[in-house]
Amino acid sequence: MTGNPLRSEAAAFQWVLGTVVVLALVVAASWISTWLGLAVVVLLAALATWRVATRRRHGPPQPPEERAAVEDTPEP
Amino acid sequence: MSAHAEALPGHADDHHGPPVANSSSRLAPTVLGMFLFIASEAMLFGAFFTAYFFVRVVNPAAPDTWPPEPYEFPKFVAGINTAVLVTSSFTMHWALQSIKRNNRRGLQAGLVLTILMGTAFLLTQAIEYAHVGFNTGDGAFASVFFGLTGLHGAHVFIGLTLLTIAAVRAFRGHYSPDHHHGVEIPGIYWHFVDIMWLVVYAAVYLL
Repeated sequence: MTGNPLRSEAAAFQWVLGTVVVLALVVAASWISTWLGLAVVVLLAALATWRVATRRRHGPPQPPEERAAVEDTPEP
Repeated sequence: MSAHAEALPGHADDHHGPPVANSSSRLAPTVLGMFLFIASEAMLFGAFFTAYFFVRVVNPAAPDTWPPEPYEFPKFVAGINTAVLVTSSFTMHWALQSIKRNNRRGLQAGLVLTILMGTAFLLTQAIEYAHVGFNTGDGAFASVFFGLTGLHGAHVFIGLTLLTIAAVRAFRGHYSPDHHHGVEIPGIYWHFVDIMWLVVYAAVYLL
């Protein structure tokens, strides 16, 4: 899953595929053992949190160009 | 120079129509609107999921027996329905990628296939309701089942309406590789509906 799913259809589609994979893992683990399913949920949530935090640290989202032009404009 | 003047080079007399809207957010207005809309939708589904899990936890026989005897959820039919809906996300993605490559036939075919699969999903769900063997009066589990799946079905219907509008416009010659916002936004909504169904299917039918 990459990118904000609200910014583009392609990113939202990647979230669909990611959700299929994540839920397949959770359901498979839950069928083996309820506690294993819970552990997989916690593990995947931690992984997702780490990934979001890492991405923000390395590459903050850039504002749209038109907005950047407005921000750089000195006040009168 | 003000932001308004930056957005409108030249004399003010050259501009026709309403003034350009001020943007006070780092997000584009369309993205922000979709974000707020889907966030409210996620909270709505969250409320229904809370009710569902509460009913499931307080059920005396849970987690060993769910749903309560002698009822059964139709896992197989719902699984086929899930496959249909996930496939419709692929055709939706294909439709948008087609118009980005200036392939109008691909856009039209993708949208029509997505609409057909969404309609098939809704019809299958209606048939499932008719043959599921319980009704809303048969217990709280039945109420939350119909509430959650029915809420999702309503969202599928809204998505189909948006896609139908996009398809009609596509057949009338609208959209181009540079201007396809009218397909992109229903596409995002359709994928959101798909993701919500995957969560509903996993939580209600499988877990």
